[in-house]
Amino acid sequence: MAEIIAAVTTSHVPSIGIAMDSGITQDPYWKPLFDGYLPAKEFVKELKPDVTIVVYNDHGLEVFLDRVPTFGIGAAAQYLSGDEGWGPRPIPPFQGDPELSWHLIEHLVAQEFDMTMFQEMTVDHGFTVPMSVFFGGPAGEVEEWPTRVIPITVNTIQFPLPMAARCFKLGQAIRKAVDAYPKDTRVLIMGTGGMSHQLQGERSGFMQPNFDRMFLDKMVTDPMALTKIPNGVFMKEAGHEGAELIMWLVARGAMNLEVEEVYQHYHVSASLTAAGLACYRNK
Amino acid sequence: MSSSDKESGGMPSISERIEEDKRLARSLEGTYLFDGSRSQKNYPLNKMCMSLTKSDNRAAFAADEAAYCDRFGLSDESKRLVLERDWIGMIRSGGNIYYVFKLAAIDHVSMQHVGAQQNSMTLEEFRAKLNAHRDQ
Repeated sequence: MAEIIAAVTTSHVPSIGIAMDSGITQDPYWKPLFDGYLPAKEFVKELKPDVTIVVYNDHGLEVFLDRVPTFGIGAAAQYLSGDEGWGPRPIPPFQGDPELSWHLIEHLVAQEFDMTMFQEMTVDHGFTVPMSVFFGGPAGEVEEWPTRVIPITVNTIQFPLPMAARCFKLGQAIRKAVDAYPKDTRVLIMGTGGMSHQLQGERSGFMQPNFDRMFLDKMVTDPMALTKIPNGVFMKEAGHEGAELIMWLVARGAMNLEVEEVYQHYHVSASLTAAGLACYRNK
Repeated sequence: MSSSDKESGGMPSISERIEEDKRLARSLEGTYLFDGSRSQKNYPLNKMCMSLTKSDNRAAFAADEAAYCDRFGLSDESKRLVLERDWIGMIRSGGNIYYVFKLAAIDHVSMQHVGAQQNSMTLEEFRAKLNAHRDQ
């Protein structure tokens, strides 16, 4: 039988990818962040997931404003790093798992989550940066990805965004779908984005570590409280772009209500973003 | 408002919840809630910026920026904002930061530069603002 073996969460800032790709992770600016990633890499290495479900938002690579899926899922055999305007990242292709993708699609739709299905898609920094953070070497280097992947997209760009509670329920539905998969498959779920940051407007540069620390705390102790936060409040407390934190709740929803936080790292800042990372195991 | 909009037990109606959420988001100074009306406001600008994910389009843009903008039907004012790389002007006029940032990528300009300009700060001042959050 398949099972969700753990959840990990992290910010997905483009400049973290650029730092890895240009070999400057040991520069004084970046070293504290990348040093903080090392225990998370060890945790994921020992887990040996067969498949990693990556929950992220497309930032204008596959999705333009002409059609915006609230929730989407990849069903491709392979996913390549796409060109967001500065060229694709120099990383190996990701291998998909179409059989599990279609199983998830059927089981999510049967649970009334009507996913948009992508049979061809490239992936942007929202996907690739977290993969390099967790699966890359100390400087993010990767020869071959040690896990198959399934992308799940969440609209966090065009308001209205899905509500936090809905994202949590999507995670619960993913858990049920994985539990019903007959093949022995170890599945890691990865929630990405956040933490507090704002990129647009005169408020750009806004961060709020107090809110982020509360969020990190309640991810363990009271995730249901986080599902009650309206998106307007996320924008006020975590910034217009910090509302991406709803994607952490997809990953959290796929876990037991009781979890153990294996590791946490928080760093201000990676460019304009308060960078958080955490690893969770079921209790 | 129809009766089906009301929730029982004195809870806010769906309309009230939506309005409260938007009111809060719109009350944030220096923030431009990217809702439906804003998304419609300058669709051509965002569409032009989105096209820059293709290298051929980037070359065409670089060859004649104004003519390239015309192909997407940008207003004269939006075209000026693009040619002058007026980031805060583009955001105010309905540009979405993720699409607009593709224009910055062409110039090899970082998000910190874009943030500094939006704040009317030098890069050094803006970096000091970012670093100040470390003490919170």
